[in-house]
Amino acid sequence: MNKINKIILGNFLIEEGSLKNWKLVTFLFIMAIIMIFSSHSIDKKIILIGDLKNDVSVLESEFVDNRKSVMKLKMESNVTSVLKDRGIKSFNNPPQKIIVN
Amino acid sequence: MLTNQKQFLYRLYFVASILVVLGLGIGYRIFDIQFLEGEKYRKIAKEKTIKNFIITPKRGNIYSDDGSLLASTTINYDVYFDAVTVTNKNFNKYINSLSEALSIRFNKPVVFFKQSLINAKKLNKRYHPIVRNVSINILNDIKKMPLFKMGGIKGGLIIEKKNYREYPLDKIAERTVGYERINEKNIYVGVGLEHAYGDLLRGKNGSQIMQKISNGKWKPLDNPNQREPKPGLDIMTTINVGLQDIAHHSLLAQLEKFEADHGSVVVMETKTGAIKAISNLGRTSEGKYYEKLNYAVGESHEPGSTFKLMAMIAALEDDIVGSSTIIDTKDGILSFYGSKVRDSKKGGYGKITAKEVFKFSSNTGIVDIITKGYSKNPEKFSDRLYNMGLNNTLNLSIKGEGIPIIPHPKDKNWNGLSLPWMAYGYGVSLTPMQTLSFYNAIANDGELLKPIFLNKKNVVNKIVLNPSICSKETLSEIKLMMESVVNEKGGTAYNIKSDEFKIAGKTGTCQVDYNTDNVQYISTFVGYFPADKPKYSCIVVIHKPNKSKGYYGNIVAAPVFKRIAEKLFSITPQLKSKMLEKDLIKKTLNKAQLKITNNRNKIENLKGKNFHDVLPRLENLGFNVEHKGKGLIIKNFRIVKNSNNKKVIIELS
Repeated sequence: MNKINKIILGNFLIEEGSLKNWKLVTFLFIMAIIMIFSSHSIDKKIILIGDLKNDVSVLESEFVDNRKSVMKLKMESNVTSVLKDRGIKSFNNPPQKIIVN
Repeated sequence: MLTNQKQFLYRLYFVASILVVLGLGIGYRIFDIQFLEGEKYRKIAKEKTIKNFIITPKRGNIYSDDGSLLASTTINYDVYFDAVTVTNKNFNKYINSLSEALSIRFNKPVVFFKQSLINAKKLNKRYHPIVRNVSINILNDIKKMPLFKMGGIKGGLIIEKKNYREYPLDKIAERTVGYERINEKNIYVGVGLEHAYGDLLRGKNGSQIMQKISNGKWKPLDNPNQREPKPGLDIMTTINVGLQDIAHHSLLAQLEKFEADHGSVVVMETKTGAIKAISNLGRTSEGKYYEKLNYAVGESHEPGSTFKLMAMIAALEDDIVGSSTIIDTKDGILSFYGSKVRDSKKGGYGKITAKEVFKFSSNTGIVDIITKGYSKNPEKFSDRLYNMGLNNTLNLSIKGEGIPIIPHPKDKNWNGLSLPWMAYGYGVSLTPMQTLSFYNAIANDGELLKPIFLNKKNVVNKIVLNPSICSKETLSEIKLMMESVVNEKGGTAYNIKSDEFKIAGKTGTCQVDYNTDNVQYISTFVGYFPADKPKYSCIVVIHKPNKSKGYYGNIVAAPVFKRIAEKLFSITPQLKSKMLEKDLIKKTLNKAQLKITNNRNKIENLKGKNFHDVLPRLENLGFNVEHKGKGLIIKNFRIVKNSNNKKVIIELS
C-alpha cells in the first residue's frame, strides 16, 4: 500500500537517484511521441495515396478523352468533310517511294 | 444550528447516495458493455471500421493494329444540381448565363435548360440531373460555368463519378468491338471482341482488409489472405482505324443512296486472314443507320451469283468444263419441273465459253454446266463443295457465327431442283464472312485461312483451315475468270475497272422473298486486289435496296468495293525506282525550276519559293546559308563571297 502511495505521489521522480527514472520516462515519452507521429504520418500518406490514385485515374480518363478527340480529328471522313468547302479532296494516287543509294 | 448541521448532513448523504447509485449504474454498464455484451459491440465496431474489400481489376484495353484505342475503361461523371443550397439571389442572377453556357456546350436550346433549372428550384429538388456520362474534359467545362463555378454549396453542383467503358470509335465498328456485362444469373454475356476475348480482358478480382481512418479513407491492414487484383490484359486487334472509317462511311453513303435495309463490308488481308475492317449497318424506322447486328458474322443467306465461283471451281476440278468450253445459254431460260432459271439479259447470251459464262454471270450457263456434269451423280458435286470446306463454320472468335448450308443428296429435303438451284447460289446459305474467306483462298493461292481479329505481339499468326481448296490449274483459270468480270468489256463489274490497279471479283444479285409478291434483292460484290499480287480481299453485301434506285451487284455493292480498294491503293507507297543522290537532286531541282548554277555562283529565281525547299538545294551546291526573319517566302537574298566559302543571306517575309 505504501509503495502504491509512493508511485501515486510521484516520489520516484524526486527522490535521490531519480535521474535514472527520468531517463526512462523521457525515453517512454519520446517513444510515445514517435508512435503517435508515425501513426498520423501513415494516415496522411494513405490519404495522399488515395488522392494520387484518384488523380491518376482522372488523368488517364483525360488522356483517353483527348486521344479519342485526336483520333476523330485525324479520321479521313472528318478531314474530308472539313476541307470539302475549300475544294480539297483526298488523293487518289499513292505516294512514290524512292530509294536513294 | 444543530438542526441545520443535521439537515446538511442528510442532504449530503442523500446526494452522495445518489452519486454512489449513479456510479454503480455506470460501473455496471461498463461491465456490461465490456464483458457481458462485449463480444457483440466489438463485432459491430469492427464491422464499421474494418471491412474486406473486393477490388475489381482494371479491364484491359482494346487497340487497333496501329495502337489506336478501340475500348478503354475511364471515369465518367453524372452532374446534378442541388436547387436548395443555392440562394434565390444567386439563382436569379446566374440562371440565364448558366442556361446559355449549358446550351452551347450540349447543343440544346437555352429554354430547355432554363426551364429545367427553374422547375428544380420551384420543387426544391436536391438532386436534379443536368447531364449524365460526361467525360472529364466536359466536366471541367461545366465547373467553369456561371453559378457552378461557385462550387458544391454556393453553386449547387453535385458531381458523381463512375467507371465507364469508353469506345472512342463510337458508332463505327460498334458491333464488332462489342460489349460485355454480367447478367442476373452471374454469367458474362455480350457480343463482339469484348465478349470473345472477355477472359483476357477481365482480369481477376483481388481482396484486401481495410480499416477506416479519417477523411472517409480506408487503410489496408496486413492479412495473410489478401489477394492483389490482377488487371485485365490489353489486346491488340487487326482492325485498322483508317480503313474502318473508310469502310463505314462508304457503306453508309451507299445504304443511304439506295435506301437499303442493311449491309456489311469486310476487308481481309490476303496472306494472313487478318480482318482489317468490318462494318455492319442496319436501318432504323427513321431511316438512320447504325450497327444493329454483326450481319457479316451472323447472317447466313443465299449468296446468289457469288456462289457461281464455287460451282465453277467444282466443274473445273472434275474436268466437266475448261474455261474455253462452249456452253449454250439457250434463249436465257432453262426449265426444271416447271420452274425456270432465267438470265438477267433477255434472250440469253447464245453460245459462249465457260469463262464468259462467269464473266457475264449467266444463270442458264452455269446451271447447264452443273446439271449436265452432275445430274447422274449429284453427290459428287456436294462432296466436292464439302471437300473445299464450304459446309464448315469458320469457328470465329466472335460469337454467333451463322451455320452454312450446302444441300446434299442424302438430305431429306433434296429434290430435283436442288442441284440446278445450287449452281447459281440458291438453296445454299453462307455468311458474308464465309464467302469472303473462300474468295480469299483463291487470292491466297488456294490456302483457306480462318479470319482472325487478334494481333499477337504485332505478328498475325495465320490459321490454315484448308491448305489447298483446288488444284493450281483450276486456280489460275478461275483467277482469269474473276479478272475478266471487272477488266474486260461486258464483264458484270466492268463499271468499277481501275486504270491504276487490277481488281478481280464477282458480282451477285440474289433474289430474296421470291415466294412473295414483293421480291427483294441482295446486292453483293466480292473479290480481291491488286489482282496480280493480291494484298486484300473484300466483300460488300447490301440487302434490300430500293428497287427503283437500283439493285444489281455492280451498281449497288461494287462501288463501295472500288472506293475501299482505291483508298488502300492510294495509301500504299509505290516503289518507283532506285536512284543516285545526285540524280535525285537534279530531278528535284528541275522540278522546282530553280536556276542555280554552281560555277558562276549565280542564283536566280528564288523569290516566292519555299525556304525549306530551297535550303537543302543550296547547301548541296556548297553554299553556306544564313537566314533572317521568320516565315517561308523568300523576300530577298544576297550572296557574300569570301575566299573559303560562298555565303547566301536570305531574308524571309
